[in-house]
Amino acid sequence: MTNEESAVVIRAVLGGESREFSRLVREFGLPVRSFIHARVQNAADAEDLAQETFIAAFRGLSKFQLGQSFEAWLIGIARHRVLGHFRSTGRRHQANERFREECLTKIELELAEVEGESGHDPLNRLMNCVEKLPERMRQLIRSRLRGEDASMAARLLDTTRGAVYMLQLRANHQLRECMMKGSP
Amino acid sequence: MKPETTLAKLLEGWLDGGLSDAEQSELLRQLDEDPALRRSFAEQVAILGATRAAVDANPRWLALFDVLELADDPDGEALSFESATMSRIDTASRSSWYSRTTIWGLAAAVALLLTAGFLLKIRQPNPALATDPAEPADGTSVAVVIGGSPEAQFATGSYLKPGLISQKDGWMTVQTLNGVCVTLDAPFEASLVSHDRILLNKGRARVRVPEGAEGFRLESPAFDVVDLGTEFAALVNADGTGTCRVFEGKADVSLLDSIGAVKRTQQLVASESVRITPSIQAMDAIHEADDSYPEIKHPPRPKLNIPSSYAADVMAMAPVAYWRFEALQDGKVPNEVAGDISLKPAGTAAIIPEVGGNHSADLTHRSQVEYFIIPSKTKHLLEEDFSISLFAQFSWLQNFALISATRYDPGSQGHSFVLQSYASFRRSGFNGTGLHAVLRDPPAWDGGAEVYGKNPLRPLHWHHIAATRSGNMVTLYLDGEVVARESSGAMPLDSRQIFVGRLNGSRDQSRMEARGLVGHIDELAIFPRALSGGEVRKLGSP
Repeated sequence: MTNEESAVVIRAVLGGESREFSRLVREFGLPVRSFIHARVQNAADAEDLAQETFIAAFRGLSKFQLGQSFEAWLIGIARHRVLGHFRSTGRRHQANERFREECLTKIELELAEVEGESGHDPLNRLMNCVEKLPERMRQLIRSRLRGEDASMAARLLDTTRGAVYMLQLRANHQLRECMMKGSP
Repeated sequence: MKPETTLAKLLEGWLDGGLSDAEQSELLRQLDEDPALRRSFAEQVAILGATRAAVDANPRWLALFDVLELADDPDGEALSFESATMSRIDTASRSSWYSRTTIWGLAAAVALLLTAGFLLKIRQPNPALATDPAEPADGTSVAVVIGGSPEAQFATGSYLKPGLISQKDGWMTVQTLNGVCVTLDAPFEASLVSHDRILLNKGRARVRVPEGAEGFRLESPAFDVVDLGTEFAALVNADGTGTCRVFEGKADVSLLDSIGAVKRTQQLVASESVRITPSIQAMDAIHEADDSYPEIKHPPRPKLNIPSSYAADVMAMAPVAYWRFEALQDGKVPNEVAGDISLKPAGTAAIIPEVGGNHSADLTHRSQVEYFIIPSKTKHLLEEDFSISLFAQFSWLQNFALISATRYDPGSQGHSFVLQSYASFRRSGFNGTGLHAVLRDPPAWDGGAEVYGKNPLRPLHWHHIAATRSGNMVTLYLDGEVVARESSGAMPLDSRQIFVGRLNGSRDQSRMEARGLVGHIDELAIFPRALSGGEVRKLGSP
């Protein structure tokens, strides 16, 4: 959806056709959710934040400057929500979560750069690339997406925890390389 | 350390934690100093995020539905951008199919066979058990066993961590730490993933999801069921085929492809069933009887036996209020302290028999209004030093207010004191289950001092619960043992309005929002001083 196409939908929403907003959710849901899922480990929290992002966008739609990038505007809201999430849960943070936050702080610029390179139709390319991975890597990805930890994945793959992280590293690397090449 | 090894270690800390402080410090130092490492790690993190976003099941954004007034959307898919993106994949696949020759059809058939092989492979049972029935619950426990046949893998009362559970015979019922009840009928192989996710590789399961825990997900290799406030059941066969039936409420059933991506989602309402056949990527409506699936099974709740001498023991400790919940007199629960304040039941709150002539407060009717209240302005029962002692039984684990106090003002918002249970609700930020006390001045919805008792609660079990305040120190007791002791600071409490079994009497709040207890309470006593540990133990061991 171009900036002009977004503007047409936004004008309709502002004109009272609130259901039209669902078109924007469909169009920009994936980049917003990718942005949040990359930063928030708990998948349920990430989904809640994504939903809150779109609700905030809907309620503040009149503040959006037509002609600008709606995706960038949404990502700005999502970034604010993620920061708020970290602050609100800060007092219950454990050492592991502090480590993740510190890592995020250090790679924030690089992460934004990498996310900006995703190009057109990243989902299609990602799904194609996942299907091209060796079966062992696909098993690992599926296991982790189910929420299974490295020990469970290691038992599934009959290997060690250390080997699981190395396999995950290489799977992610292959996906990245594949996506940068375009359709495999 | 080689760059790839460093990156793998970073990934370990990022995904699962568990690194030592020294390892974390060293990795953060390297991230600071090495731009190439930062870039490589950012690529890993971005891919992980994109994969999770793309493959995770269709989110049900009910709040957004409400905001956009889409609750009555006939197909329920107005916000289903996952379906839209997945349909793009389907469209791409179809266009390829149409434009290519038969050999590509054969290739697709081979791919389907490989897919089936993949599914069969990931269903291999894992011989290792990730749970230990002898181990007490900690922050990593996600469920507790509430019943089982003699063949059950774990004893009733065992807390379970994420991991595999399987049985060849009989049944077992677990309750997740946000109150979701799951009965598994053998033979079954399942994996507890978290308090709101279970993976059923093989077998039959019946799931009841209480209000507030909506979004619970039952996954199988070929389909997912996402609860939307319901009771449902699923059957998963060894070949990956399966069925799902909704008994109450509604649920989304999603057909998955070989990597777990959602291919299609169908919403089922009560008495609707579907059959899933992954080899042909089919999900079809079927007619079947309710008795094709197990019932939710667990032993009856234990009843509380209070010896006749107990009341004398309590009175000997000189309470300012003591409600035994033995019977209503003139529509109120009499106070054993002569001439003092009675409790009035609201809504469907009632008194029911326990055992040995004992009775308790029954708050299990699940109506919107069900609690007890002191109907008039009281003296300050909870100011300065005080103690509260009661027995409580929770029908399931949730954030339930046991006793709440606020200022006497119908328009008053918030509360000045709450003693409540907590459970692993996503939005509460709690992890696990235990007791929670809050002190606030002035009455409010947040802020103030909070005390957490991390020892676990068990559903359908009579617990003795006590809270004492001595000076600034608040102590929580569970079954006679200290589970938390923290300073609340010097904080006066405005406590002239008392509620039992609910935060407040607001009609604007649903029972769940007002943390209305579903369970039983007995022998509630308030003392104008901090009881000693010995006295609390005595009250907890009738």
